[in-house]
Amino acid sequence: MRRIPRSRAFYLLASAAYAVVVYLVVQLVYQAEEIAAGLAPQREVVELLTSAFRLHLASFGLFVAFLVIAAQVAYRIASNVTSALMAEERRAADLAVVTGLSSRLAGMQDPAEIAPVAMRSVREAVAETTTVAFMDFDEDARGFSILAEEGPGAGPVRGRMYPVTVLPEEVRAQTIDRRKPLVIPDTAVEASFWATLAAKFPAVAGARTFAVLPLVSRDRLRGAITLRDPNPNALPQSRFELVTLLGHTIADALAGAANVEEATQRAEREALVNKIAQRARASLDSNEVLRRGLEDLAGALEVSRALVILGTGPDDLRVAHEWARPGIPTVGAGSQRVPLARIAARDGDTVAVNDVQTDERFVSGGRNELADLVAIGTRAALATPIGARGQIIGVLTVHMVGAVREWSPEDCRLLEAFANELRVSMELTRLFQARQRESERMLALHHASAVLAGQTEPNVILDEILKNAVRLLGRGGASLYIWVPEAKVLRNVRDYETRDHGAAKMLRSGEGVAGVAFQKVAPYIVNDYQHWEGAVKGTLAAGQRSAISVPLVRQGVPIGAITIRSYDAAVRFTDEDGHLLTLFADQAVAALTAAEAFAQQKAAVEELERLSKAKSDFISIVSHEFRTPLTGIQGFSEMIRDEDLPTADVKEYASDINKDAQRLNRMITDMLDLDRMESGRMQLYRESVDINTIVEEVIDRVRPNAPAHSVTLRLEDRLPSISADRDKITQVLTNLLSNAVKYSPDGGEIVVTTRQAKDELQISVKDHGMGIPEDALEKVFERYSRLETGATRHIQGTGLGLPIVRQIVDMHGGRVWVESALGKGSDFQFTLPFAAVPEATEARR
Amino acid sequence: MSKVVFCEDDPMIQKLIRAALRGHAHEIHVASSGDEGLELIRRELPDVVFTDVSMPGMDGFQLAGELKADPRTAHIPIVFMTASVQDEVREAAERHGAANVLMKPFSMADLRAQLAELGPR
Repeated sequence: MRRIPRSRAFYLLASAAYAVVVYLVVQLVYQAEEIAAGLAPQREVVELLTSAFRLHLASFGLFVAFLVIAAQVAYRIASNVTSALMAEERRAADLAVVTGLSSRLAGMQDPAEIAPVAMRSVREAVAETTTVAFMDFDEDARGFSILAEEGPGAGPVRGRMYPVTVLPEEVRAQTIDRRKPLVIPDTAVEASFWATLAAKFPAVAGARTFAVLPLVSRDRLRGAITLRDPNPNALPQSRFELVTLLGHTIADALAGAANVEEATQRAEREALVNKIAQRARASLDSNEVLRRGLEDLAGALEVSRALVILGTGPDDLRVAHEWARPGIPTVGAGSQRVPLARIAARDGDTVAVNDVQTDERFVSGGRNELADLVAIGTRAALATPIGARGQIIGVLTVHMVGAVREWSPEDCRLLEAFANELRVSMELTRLFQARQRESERMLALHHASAVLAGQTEPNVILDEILKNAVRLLGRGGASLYIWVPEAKVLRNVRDYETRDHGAAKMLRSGEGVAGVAFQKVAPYIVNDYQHWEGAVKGTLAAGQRSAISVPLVRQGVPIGAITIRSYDAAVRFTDEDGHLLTLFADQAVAALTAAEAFAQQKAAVEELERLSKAKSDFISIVSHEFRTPLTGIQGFSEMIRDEDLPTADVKEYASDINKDAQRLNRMITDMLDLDRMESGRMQLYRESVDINTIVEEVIDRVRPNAPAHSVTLRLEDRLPSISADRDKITQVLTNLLSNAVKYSPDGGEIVVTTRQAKDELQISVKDHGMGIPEDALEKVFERYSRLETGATRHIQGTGLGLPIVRQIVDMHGGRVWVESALGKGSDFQFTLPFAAVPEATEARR
Repeated sequence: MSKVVFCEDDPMIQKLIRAALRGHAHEIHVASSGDEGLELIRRELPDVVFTDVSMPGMDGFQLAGELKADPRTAHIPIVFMTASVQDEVREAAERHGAANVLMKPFSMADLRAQLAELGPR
């Protein structure tokens, strides 16, 4: 910059010199003009000059004086201009310092990084003897921490923390409350104040000049600069102003850093919330989301404990999930000692408690509402409700243990955001689980169907159905009732239960849950069973809490009911459960119906198999019986053919052959007769017959074949004759008598009795043989039945004798039966009515 | 010539056997039931026993069991006679130590051949 001369003498001398030169030039020019005009004689130059001075000394003096005054004016002007330029220049320099600092600080986000740069600028602005300390203000901790200290008096104080509370009242009021600088130009002048300050901060005791400059940006205290100098008045106004300017820049930088820090923190928290949100939406297991989320939340908020407390209302809250830092005691899962959560749930809003021991809202009359929190070491707590579908389902709470905490709005917002994500997660999980449960139910139903498809045993089917129903619907037991129309009761036929359920074995329609469902032919649910007026006594004692029953309906008609019961108060049956159980009931009905059909079919098949076996056995026995006479026929004829026998022998053997042939013929006839009688193709040839005569004829024929038996006849005299088929009645008596002989192999008495009853004849053939077991008394008259008893297998016969007897007696309109004692003998009796029986009575099939 | 015991409940077959073995056996004893047959065999200790399978009371198999259990009769060869058409009977006979089985109706030549084979030389 070009400099304007500033000396006053310079202006005076310059003015004087100028005056002399101007004067002499004017004189010379004037005299030269006079000479040229001839008004004055030609003269030497020197002579001219001297004459000029001589002539006009007075005017010259005046001229000079005038110029001196002008010089003085010029000096004044120049002097002012110069000082103005100087001030401008200094301000520019100061500005350069400030802008330099500002540009150097630009982009710095860390107070530790800002500190040395700021320190250098401040140090440049103040005297070298001045010690500068630069500190950061921590709002949370309410204190200053020293970032840097430089200068001759600097000590190892970096990082040291000074809470606001230790500052003397004057300093605090001035710098923190009013946020104005405090400047003490000479500490000696304000000795008493200085003494108190120096007592607290011995490091600054030796200063004569002391200043505190609060660093304020956007109305917030960011930090402070202290200046101290062993010389008094070491900080002139202009320097202090510059330092103040620098202070603003530094404060802005600190504010920026704080903002960045806050923004970072906010971003981190948002990222955390996002992470939790993502997890909440990605995972369908809210427990997993809760567990991991709580840890993240606790980390972000730097708290000691984080809890998720769930429940249906403020008084039903229990700790569901908990995270606690290592070494911090837990509240405990399931605990209900959650006073703040209750308050938050009741208020439906976030509640922040900075100090649970002293918060006036909760401490009254010496009683602390939050005593439960105090008891577990909690000092500060924050709780926010978790809402879902317009109702509160829980509370999210964080605790500080061992330290109070002033919760910031940010903390509250983070907690609320987290609670919202939890709500979303839990809703999703609930929806998913509902869906999954539905799928599981369907799967189980299919599974049950598949299992049941291969089952024909009704009990297995019913057990399977009950088991599946219990598994899907509750944690108690199940009972199946079947309606017994004859007794008009529901009979408990099947249980799937792990404990004594106390349910009645028989229920009337409308009695108990099953009875109501049966009566209404609709699902019936009782969720408050203990207070249900229709509760069955035994089930109350067994602790039943809820029950659901659906009717078993076949073709619109109820045939029973399935009841599911629960002993857990938390299990509440829903209409949905009713639908599901109805599916099971339908299945049970289908299975029961199928099983019944199967049982019928099985019985039919078994009957067929039995008949088929009986028939094949019959054939086998018949062929056996055929072979015996055949043996005789073959043997005797062989001998006649191969041997030279006397004529008498030949005749005898031929007679034997003949007897065996007749025997064969009789067997065949028997079979055919029975077949014809059973198929109704046999006719009776009735004539008037005397039963006693027939008896005697038959005895005569049988007696030779029964040498070991004595036959006693007890025939009633003068019996009226009856209308009957003689041959058939003969056949009846023959069969009965030959049976009597055959089944008393050890011999003994055979008694044949005839007598007249009211309107019929009674004929009895009694032996003393092996007898017939009681359960076979009716069976012996059935076709082939002889083949099934086995005990009489060794006795020859076609097994058709007694069936033929019954057929014939039936055709005559009479009855036949046997009385017997095992080992003592049998008494076969039949009746023949006197009254004429309609012609060609159809035989019993 | 051998001593033989027959157990057969059918009178016609009893008669047939007596006639057929006349001159082929030394002694012929006939029983109508298993129990009777057992008593007879124990008394007579025959060279061969012919028994029907199906008899009232003790059947042919039970009789064979008794004979095999008794050291005095265990060695006597037993020929079963049966009219059964079932194969199981033959198997059962072999299980009960049958020397042979005659299926009814059998020829008298077979009967005599059995006796000749099993009787003393």
